[in-house]
Amino acid sequence: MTAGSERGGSVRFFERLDHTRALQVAFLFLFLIAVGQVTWWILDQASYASEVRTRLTQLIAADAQAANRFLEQGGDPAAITVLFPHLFRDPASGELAIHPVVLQSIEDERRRRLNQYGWEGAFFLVVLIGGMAVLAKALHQDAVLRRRQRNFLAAVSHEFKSPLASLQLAAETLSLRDPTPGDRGRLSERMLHDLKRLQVMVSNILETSRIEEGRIALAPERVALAEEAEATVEECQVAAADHGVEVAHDIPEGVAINADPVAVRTVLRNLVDNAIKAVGAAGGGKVVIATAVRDGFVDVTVSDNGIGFPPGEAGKLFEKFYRPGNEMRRETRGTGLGLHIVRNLVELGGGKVSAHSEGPGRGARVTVSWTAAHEDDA
Amino acid sequence: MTDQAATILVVDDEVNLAKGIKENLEIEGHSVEAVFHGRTALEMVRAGTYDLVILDVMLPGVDGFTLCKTMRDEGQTTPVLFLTAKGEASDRIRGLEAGGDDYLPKPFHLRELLLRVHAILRRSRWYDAAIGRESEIRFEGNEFDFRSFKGRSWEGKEHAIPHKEAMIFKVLAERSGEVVSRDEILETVWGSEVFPSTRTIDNFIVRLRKRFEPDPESPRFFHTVRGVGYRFTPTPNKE
Repeated sequence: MTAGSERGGSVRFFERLDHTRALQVAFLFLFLIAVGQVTWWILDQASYASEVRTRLTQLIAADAQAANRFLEQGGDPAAITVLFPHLFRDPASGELAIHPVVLQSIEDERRRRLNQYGWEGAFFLVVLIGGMAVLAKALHQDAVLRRRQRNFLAAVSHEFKSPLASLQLAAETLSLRDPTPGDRGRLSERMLHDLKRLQVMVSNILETSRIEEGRIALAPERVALAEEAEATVEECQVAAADHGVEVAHDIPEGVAINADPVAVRTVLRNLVDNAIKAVGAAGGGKVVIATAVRDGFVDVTVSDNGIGFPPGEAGKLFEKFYRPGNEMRRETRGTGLGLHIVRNLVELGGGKVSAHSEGPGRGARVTVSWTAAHEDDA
Repeated sequence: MTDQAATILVVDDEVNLAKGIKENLEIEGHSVEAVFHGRTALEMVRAGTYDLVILDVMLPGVDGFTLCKTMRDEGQTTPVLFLTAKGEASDRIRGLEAGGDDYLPKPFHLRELLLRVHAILRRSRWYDAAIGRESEIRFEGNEFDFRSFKGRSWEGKEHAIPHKEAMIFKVLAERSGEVVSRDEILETVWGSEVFPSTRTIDNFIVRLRKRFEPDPESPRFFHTVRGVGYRFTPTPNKE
């Protein structure tokens, strides 16, 4: 398709020059003007100080000339000291000249002024640069958030519309065709699978909203991790099988934490769900939930041999709407809310969460540290 | 459906959806393959011969727009129907600019999908049949091969023409000397549901004039019939 490609090109240019970009350009323009203005001011003041020194020196030199003429015309030398205290008699020429101390003080004043203007200008520039840096950072953060929100909207739109399209297609196939009982069963399974996806996404969006509004009240109690992990593995089996992923846990009986059981289930489900997607995108593999007990804490690690992520992005994974890579070429499904919910639920319960990967294609592991349950919590 | 059996490639990372489309098209008598990854799709398009590619936009590996543009850049003229959750006007335009033939937003009705597939195959077959009747045209020093989409204009300049432009040219050339309405061109080349305005064709005519007319401002071959459409006159003196 070529029609209107030139027009399309210019439209794309203006699309790229969005609100944030326009602000950044205006910002840079103002910054350059401000720097130019300050530099001009410093140079102008320096020039003025030099001019003042020259004028003063010329005035005093005129005084010296007048005083010399006064003496030549028989004036009283004693009056010179009173009338022209800034002159002295040069021993070499025998004439009145500007006193070196006066010259030095004029020069000192010029330097003091230059120093003052230099410092004031530099201070102003530092304040200006500092202020602009703060503004630039805010603008950058705003741009990042906008981009993520755009990605989020694209992802949510895709995540809603795709299972809806699949549901509609299956329903219309049931209605318009005459499927065999076997086909009908298969179509029903697909519909249930799509409904489950929609349900999980709606839950995630509502959960995020509740967390942000502070409407989550955790009720910590003793939670047996082996049981929770077992239930999570069971719950994720269908999705895992669809992606060619094996999910297992390696948690001994008796390991328990002090946490909200609903939050623990949500955290584990999100972590395992994420890992399944990452492994599925890599063509299949394994997801394992394991624990390590240390100093009153239990570290629960969900590790996989999936697509991994660049190590530098470990922190960003938990940010709201964050999705690695380009949304148009996404390797995994999702809205960028799952790990954000995980971090919030874990931190609300006093725990910590971290992610680690050796790099893209080299798997990943996410570790959640919860407070270990005391024996008397049982 | 009354289509002849076609070979169709469905590319969508929504496995359930891709399978559902595949099964329905197979019931219609077509031979269908479904793939779920952009790169796999590109390899298959390069290796296979398909009558139609049904393509999602957001795909792992290579997105649908890039895939379609790559196909067109490599000279592939297989019709592409975009089927995607990205249904805004700007997305549609982007898809068509990438070389897509039609655009159906998700969720969609099964009947509508089947109708669109039917319409694209019909248009594609019309072009194949038309170039079967006459694959080349020569007029006043210009020549163009509708099979290879390549030609030479009166001043000796070589031209490689996009698929859609060649189709419009063919519609006009098939009915040389007659007035062809914009709606007829639109229906034959795209299907009337794709573009919001028939004025889009005007841009293609301007391009054809720039390629083949000695003076595009005073056209001798590609005439505008105000308020109706266009007429192609390969031998203006005999008009």
